[in-house]
Amino acid sequence: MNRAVCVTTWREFKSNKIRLVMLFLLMVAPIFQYTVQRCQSPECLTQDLLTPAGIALAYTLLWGAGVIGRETQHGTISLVLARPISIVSYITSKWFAVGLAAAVCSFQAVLIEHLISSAFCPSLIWQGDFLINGLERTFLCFGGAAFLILLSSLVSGLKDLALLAGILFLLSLSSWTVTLMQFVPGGTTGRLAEQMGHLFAIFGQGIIAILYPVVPVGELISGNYNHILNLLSYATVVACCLSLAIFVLTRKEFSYAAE
Amino acid sequence: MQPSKSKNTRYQPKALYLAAALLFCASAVVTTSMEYDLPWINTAIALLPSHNYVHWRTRDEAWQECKKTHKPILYFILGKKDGSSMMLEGQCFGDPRVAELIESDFIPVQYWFDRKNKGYETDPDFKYYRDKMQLNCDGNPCIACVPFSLHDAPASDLISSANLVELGIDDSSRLKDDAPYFQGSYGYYGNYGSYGCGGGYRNRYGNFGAHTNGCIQYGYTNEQEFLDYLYAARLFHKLPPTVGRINWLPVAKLNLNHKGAKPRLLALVQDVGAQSDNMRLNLFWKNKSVKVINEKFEPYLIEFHRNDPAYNKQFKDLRKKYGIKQLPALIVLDCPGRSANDPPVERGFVNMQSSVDFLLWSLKPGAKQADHWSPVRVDEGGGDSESEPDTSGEND
Repeated sequence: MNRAVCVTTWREFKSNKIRLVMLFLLMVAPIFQYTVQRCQSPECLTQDLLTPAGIALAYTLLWGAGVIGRETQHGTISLVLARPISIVSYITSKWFAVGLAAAVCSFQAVLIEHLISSAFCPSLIWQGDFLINGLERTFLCFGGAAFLILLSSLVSGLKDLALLAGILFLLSLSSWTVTLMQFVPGGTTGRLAEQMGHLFAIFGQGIIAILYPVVPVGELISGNYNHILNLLSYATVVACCLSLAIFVLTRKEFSYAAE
Repeated sequence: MQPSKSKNTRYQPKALYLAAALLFCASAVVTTSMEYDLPWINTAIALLPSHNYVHWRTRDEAWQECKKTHKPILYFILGKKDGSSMMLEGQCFGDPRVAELIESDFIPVQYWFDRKNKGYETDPDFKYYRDKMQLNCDGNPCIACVPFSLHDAPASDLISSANLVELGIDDSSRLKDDAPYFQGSYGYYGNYGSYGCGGGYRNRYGNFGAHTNGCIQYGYTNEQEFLDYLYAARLFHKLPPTVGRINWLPVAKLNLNHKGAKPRLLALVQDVGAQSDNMRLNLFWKNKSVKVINEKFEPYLIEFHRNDPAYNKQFKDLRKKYGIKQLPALIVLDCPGRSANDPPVERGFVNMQSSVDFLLWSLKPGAKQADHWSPVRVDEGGGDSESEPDTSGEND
């Protein structure tokens, strides 16, 4: 882990006005949508009325889009690596910087929601759901950051966003294909179709684990260790994404000139 | 020259690669095993500590306990590998507060079935829930709260009620209209809109996340909605059914050996059950039928309690005498020109007009029993069902 790389990543984000505006909007929107609703009827405090933990992925995307690709595009990555920094240290620092920043922002957002709710309705102040939601967000941020680091290491600039969009489009296409197969006469019968169904299910679970690396903190805290398998898939996603990102970058030639 | 201790910029973290490869293999094996439902994975998962605070009973144990305590039985019919079922298990059964509520007010029974397992349809428990209770067992969670009086009753009886509060009717004047009042999939409806939205139960959000009909819930959305359902279900079927606007005479005064001043009408109904509820809400409330009954008859309401043979014993002879096998039924005594042993009887209930026609017809001198005054054919299973174990004395 390299402190300078982390700080540079955060400073770079601060200099981008568009991202700052988007970050502000991302914090304000849920307050209007959920907190006001919750203040109107405090007894309705349920998981549904808390901002879903999945919103943390939006923060991660905001912080992590093009985090390595931009440096590759501008040629600064060669200068950074000229210092005694290994690619391993560079990648882990970037991952930590993106994950931590996104986690802090999303945790801060849920904290603001909680404070506003508590001001309107003091009985909500000891509701533990806020804390669980915040912890789930933290896990999501670090998991999502690992996948974004991998995408960003593959391409230069902000092309990782295009890559992400392409992956989502392909997934939609494949899910439509599976749905359509059900309407083909004889398409879902037979042993082959059954095996295909199993393979699609396994593949689907893998994709979900990558795109939505959630750890059900609430269930684990309440003592249901059946969900420990989610931790396994979470660790797999983080380890594999970081390993692949390191492997890709160590095999890449960097140029000093901007592309 | 001494070699530098600092690592090469492009050095490969072999330990990380190895860890990633091992984790990937482990995840792949676990996911594949779960998808193909291999036995070892289920054994391994069972070994993991899991806090399920609910003390589950088998179906028989629950019924034995229900007979003693009269607590309602809470059935959970859940699908293996179904996301909603697993959420319900994780969020509710692992929550001590929910478990405490379930334990204090219900007798919980859970049944898991796997739709991928071809033999699941032949399982006796599955047959009981699908065929006997007529619950929708499609793999999504199905939760049914069955009070003592409705043991073994089909879903149509479970969701039915004839109590105006349970139905959410706050303006009973509208029940007097002659328009029919009928039960739909999610509640009761008249020509003036819907009543009660799901048997009087409406969740706190004012809509349905999961489909709830009083004491049956299909699907699962979140813990709060499930708690709402539990609070509503434990009170459902607790309040007495309506007796309408008929000027009923006390049953204690009924003497079958003496004639009344006017022809006597005996209305035999159950305290629960869709058919009896239908009669209570339609025949005992509508302007037309109330006028006919109050003016032309001496009405007696004879109420049977389902699963309560001790209470029903007093009316056993009455049912035997007139051959009433299933309820509800109307019997007109002291008809002009008819013998006392062969009174007109309407078995079952279809609608208010049919019953009013029957009542007016029975007043005609010399009228004979016609087939169509048995609108619900008993041999086809019409009328309110009665459970066998404890009511054998009632079913003649």
